[in-house]
Amino acid sequence: MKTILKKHLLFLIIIVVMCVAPVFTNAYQLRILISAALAMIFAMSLNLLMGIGGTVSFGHAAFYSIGAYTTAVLWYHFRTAYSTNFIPVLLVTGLAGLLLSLPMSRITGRYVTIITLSFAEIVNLIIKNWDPVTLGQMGIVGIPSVNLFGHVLKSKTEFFYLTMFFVIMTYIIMNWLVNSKLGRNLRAISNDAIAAEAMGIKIFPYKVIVFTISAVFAGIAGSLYAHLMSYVEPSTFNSNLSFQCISMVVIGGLGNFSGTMVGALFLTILPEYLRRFEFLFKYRMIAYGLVLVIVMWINHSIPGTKLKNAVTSRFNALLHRKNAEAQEA
Amino acid sequence: MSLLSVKNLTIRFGGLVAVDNLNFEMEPGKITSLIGPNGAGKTTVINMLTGFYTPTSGKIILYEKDGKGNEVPVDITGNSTDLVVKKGLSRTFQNIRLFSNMTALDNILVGMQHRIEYGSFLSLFPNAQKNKWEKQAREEAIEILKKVGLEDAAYERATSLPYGKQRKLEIGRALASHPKVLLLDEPAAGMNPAEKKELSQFIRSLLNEVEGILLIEHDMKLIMDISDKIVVLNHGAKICEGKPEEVQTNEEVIEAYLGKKGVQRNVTAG
Repeated sequence: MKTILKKHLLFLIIIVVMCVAPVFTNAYQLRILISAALAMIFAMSLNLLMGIGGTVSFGHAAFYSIGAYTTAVLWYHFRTAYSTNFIPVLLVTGLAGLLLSLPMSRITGRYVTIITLSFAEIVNLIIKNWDPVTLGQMGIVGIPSVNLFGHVLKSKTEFFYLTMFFVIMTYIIMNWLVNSKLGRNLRAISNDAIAAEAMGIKIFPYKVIVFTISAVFAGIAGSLYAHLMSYVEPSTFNSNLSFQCISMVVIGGLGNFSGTMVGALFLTILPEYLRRFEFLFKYRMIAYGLVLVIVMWINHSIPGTKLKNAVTSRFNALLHRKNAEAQEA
Repeated sequence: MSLLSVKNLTIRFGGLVAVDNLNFEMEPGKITSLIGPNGAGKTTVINMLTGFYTPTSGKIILYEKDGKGNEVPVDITGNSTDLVVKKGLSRTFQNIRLFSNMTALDNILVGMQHRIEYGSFLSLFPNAQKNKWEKQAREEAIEILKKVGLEDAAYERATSLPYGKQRKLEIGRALASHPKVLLLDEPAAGMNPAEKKELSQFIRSLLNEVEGILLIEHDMKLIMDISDKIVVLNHGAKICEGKPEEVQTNEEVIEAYLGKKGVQRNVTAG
């Protein structure tokens, strides 16, 4: 029990702080908090793919946009409520994830990057040009707030708590997944694909599963985004969104879900906070970039742990050899 | 009585014949060693046995026992790695390939993954099936860690272990799949004499766990100490097979390792 608490301490702190926050915030700040919560779901879904599955996706915005557009299009054409759209959102984004995973049977490394990047562009182009369904460049306007089985979430506070519910669920499900056979085998594949194969793991089905699950969670975040903004247009879901998502994951640490939540919170609030400083305003993005570099340098869990491990294992090996020699003598 | 037999095994990579018409048998309860100079094709043989490469021609036959205790030959030529693992062949690698960012315990658990029989869907939420299998697997994994002497390091990351223990963990991971035949690819590489001595006893003790061991090794002392049978490869072809003493005195083997006497004389004369 104590170890469980320790393991999820950061998560619990974030959740408690976030859930109490609406008492103190104004409407503008609450909106930023909701964006941060959506970013958390989105970034955690990418973390599953990158940190656990070992596949760097540069087109994760595709799933976000598919989720947003599925609910928007269904509302526009059939006036269906959010709760009715929920299952179709899961199915459509899951299918999109499955589709993107198919080339993964043949490619690895940098080619994965290219494929994911182009997948996002293809999705974006389809949305831009499929006028009868998506209304193209005009976007879909006037999407109402979330309607849960007839109960309309009128205030943004209610909307915020719904998003927080999804954040918590995402975190919990990710943890169940990671600590199971599925998660273990995925980590094994991303650690060393050849050794994983030698243990009898068929790699391709696992790629399909991880892409599908990851896409579904990104889709959930996307559909909430559509209802939050009440407006979707293709240019929102550009590659910048994908890159931002990657930064959130990398700042938080690959495979570390509570870290990803911090990363998402940080990268959503920071640009907004930097708006205040007038002298900085012109250089806002540069300052943002600088802060990113500093944070990565301090907190980047990858080179840090690698370096640390390299040093400790070298030291251990040395010690071990000394001991062995002593024994022999 | 036979455990595994390799018949006329050949593999070509383009014009290069990496393994040429190789025949050998593995007997149950014995350690069979595969030796030869660098580039002789030893690792290629293991890669074919475990399904990483598909042989150009030839057969790999594993003998299984049916209910009555009769031997039934099963052709595993060209099977994919996951099938080969299920049939009972498990390997280690020449350069250690552990799941470096995972704990020792998790490494073992991945090794036994084909025996943990709950699907990916059941992985997504807590349920009785998952709990049962995970609990059982964890207990068994700890047992295996004890066997390889790593019970204290269960929750340490694989990379943080000293070299010798990493080797043992890799062997433990291979044992976790409950293999009939264990394939060890240069387990003593990079070890000091004390570690090698311990390793040779350890490998002997592994015969209690598996039915047979195929060993690739460069360390001749180790090979001569523990092998029951040695197969010598040179340029992909078998040049000799027999007990350690027989192999040691074989002209062709000496030639393969040290070169022809005549050639040497020519060099010095030139």
